[in-house]
Amino acid sequence: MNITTWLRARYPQLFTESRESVVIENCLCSMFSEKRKKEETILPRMSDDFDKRLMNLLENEKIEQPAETFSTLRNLFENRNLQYSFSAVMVVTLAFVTVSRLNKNESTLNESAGVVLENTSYLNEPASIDLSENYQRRLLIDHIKKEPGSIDGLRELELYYQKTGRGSAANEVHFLINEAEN
Amino acid sequence: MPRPLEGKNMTLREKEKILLQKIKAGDPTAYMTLVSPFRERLFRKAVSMVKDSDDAEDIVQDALISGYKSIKNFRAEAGVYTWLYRIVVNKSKDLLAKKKRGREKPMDDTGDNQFVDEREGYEKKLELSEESRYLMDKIALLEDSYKQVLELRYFENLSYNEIAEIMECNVGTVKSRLFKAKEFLKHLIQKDDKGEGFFEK
Repeated sequence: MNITTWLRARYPQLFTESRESVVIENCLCSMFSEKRKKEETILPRMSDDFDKRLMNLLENEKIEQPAETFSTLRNLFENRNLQYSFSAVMVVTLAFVTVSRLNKNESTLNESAGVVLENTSYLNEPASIDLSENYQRRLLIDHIKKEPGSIDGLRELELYYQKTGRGSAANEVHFLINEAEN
Repeated sequence: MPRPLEGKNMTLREKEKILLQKIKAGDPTAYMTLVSPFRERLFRKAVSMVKDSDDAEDIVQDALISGYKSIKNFRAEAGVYTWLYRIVVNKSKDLLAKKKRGREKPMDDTGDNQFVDEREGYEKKLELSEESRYLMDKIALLEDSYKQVLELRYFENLSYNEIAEIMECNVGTVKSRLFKAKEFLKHLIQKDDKGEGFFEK
């Protein structure tokens, strides 16, 4: 079944019906209607005492009890409200996860200098300072300028970062060296 | 005898719910009230299948007793008619299979041969117009599932949901089977010489 046929079968209201389909539809309606009417006239009727007979038989019958565990499980699984609740919870969870993923604003500390112990608590210290902050940048560059030997140390560090594939850290260090030398 | 349920403003569904509660408490009169609107329709279905009124009456009786006994398995969202319809169809099929097995066994000329005669007699009595007869012959060429879906939709006037319940499939499958049944029918008529002019109305 190709996609068009499938769509026509599922959503016939979206398509205009061909002349043949309309004729078939009308013929089916009138044929079955005619058959129903004719059958009503020729088919035999139920016997008059059917109800009485059935009632007598029913009075001697007992309603069967469904197996307890089976019925409880079936009721649980067939409970529409429960099914809808599960679906709703899943949709809300999915929406929450999607929104959280899309609005990921928190900064990621990919590189850190490790942990330092301060007042018996471990703190995760970032490897780099925020160089977009003018004050911090100026303070650090002044400090490097005062210690010319530190530039060599920084070059070594830049090289090390480049070798170990930490490009962003190497760029930061390179930026600091340039600022300190100018 | 079944008595009408009091309370004129109640919907059919509400009436059914009240009756089901009573039946589950062991009230057979409530059961008679619940099933009485469908008895004749079920009987006609059984007759159309087994072609014998006595057998059909026995089938309906058995089906209604089975329905009463297993009423606790009846799901409230299912329709009473579709539920009973399935029981009647299954019992009719069982009887037909039993009779077929009986016919296959060596036997003398009497007995089950009568069944064949009754069946033919019934078909003959149903005198439809030429056009309806032609369409019915074409429907007879379709696969059983297509014949069934057409009958449930156009003869029984059932909704897609009810048909899905009887055919034990989903509503989408019902729609596609119905669509395909009509497409096949259209194709059969188009390629038939006698069908010339059928669509020129």
